[in-house]
Amino acid sequence: MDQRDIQRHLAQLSKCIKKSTVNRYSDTRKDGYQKKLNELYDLISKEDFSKLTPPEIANRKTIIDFIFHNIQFLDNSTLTISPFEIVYCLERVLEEWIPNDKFIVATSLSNNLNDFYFDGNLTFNTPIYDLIKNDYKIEFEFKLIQISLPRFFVHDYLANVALYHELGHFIDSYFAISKTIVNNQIVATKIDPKFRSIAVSHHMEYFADIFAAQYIGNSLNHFINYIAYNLPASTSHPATDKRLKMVDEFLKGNFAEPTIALLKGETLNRTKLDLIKRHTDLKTTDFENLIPMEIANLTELHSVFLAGWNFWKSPSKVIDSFGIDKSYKIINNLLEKSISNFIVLDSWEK
Amino acid sequence: MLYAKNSKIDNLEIYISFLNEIIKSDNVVYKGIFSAIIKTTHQVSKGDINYSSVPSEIFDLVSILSLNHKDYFSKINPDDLKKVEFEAIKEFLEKDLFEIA
Repeated sequence: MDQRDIQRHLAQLSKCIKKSTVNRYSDTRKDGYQKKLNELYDLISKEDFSKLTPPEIANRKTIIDFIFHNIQFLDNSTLTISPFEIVYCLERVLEEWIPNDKFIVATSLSNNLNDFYFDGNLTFNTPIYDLIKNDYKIEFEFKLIQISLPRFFVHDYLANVALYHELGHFIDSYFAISKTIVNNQIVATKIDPKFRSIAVSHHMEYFADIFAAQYIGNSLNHFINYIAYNLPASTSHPATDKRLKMVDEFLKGNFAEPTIALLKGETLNRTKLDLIKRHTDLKTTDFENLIPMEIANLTELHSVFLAGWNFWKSPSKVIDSFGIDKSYKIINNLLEKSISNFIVLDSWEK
Repeated sequence: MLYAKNSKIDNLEIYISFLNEIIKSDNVVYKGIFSAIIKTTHQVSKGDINYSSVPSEIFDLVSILSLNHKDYFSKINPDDLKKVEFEAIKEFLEKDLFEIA
């Protein structure tokens, strides 16, 4: 690794930065965030790399990668690309759990089918923020929560219930809930340290499922039971049947179930909030009449996804008469309009 | 994939570069970051606190150090950290890198 390598890397970034300057966001915080990235890029590009040692060049490489990674998510979070309605719903959940307004939900669109994931690289890469602060005196007021979803499903409000699960991963990681449970179990010799990584991953999946179920009931179970039908346990995920059962137990209020009890206990300790039911059963009468729902509050906002799933699973005769393709489109339109009407009313009231 | 990319390794490598700065030039900013980490690791290793009390922002590093090097950190004096301790921690993290990889 020498200065010509880092200069090539910087030239690649220069092209990417220039392209991203035309980005338009619905959230002004993203504009401020992008300005910080530009500032950082300017400072790096003015440096004399011939004076840097190889470890210092390696750190510059990490920072350039960091800027690239940020831009990848910002480029996919613009006004025209971002799944605005679902991001709005996730931000309301976020405010409930972390009310300090220090995080921005950013989405990236994946070309792979069913590729929903949370990437903690920009949020939890704490040392890189220390490094940037120390070397360039730049501090980021916000951090990006990177959530990726398949490009095909941007406007599929039934499939996008998976994003509540992904936000659950962020909340878990931010408060270190699953890791705490597993480490305490290791100390108590209930888990063998060599299985720590698997145990943490499985607790994280259960947490994310239950976290989502608070807001959207069993709608994620419908989706998982299809895309991950009957899958056995892996190093990263528990068996699908076990995941579905855990959510069912939580929704039934069986809080004595050992994993649920551990997750609830540590969540309360870390967040001062409990894992509880945060949704309501909405009547689907409006959808049956092919009109958007009037959403009265945030609980109803999240519950509209469950209503959408219930309506899809048990459609009325009217919607059924349109055929599958059209009824899929209509239900998604009804969900989108219900949420966007709420957003408009909410912004008027503010 | 062309090469093994692992953000946990990237993080540890940055932490190792901080330790290099402390060892080389007594960087006070990085020393402050590590003092909090070492103090918490010491408390966990001695059993004075459990993991439920470890701040989440330093959890990962405290977890690696306390689970892998419990004996060392239970004996350390976190209020009187010298260059030799930072050198030892650097060595631990370099070894831990291989485990994560």
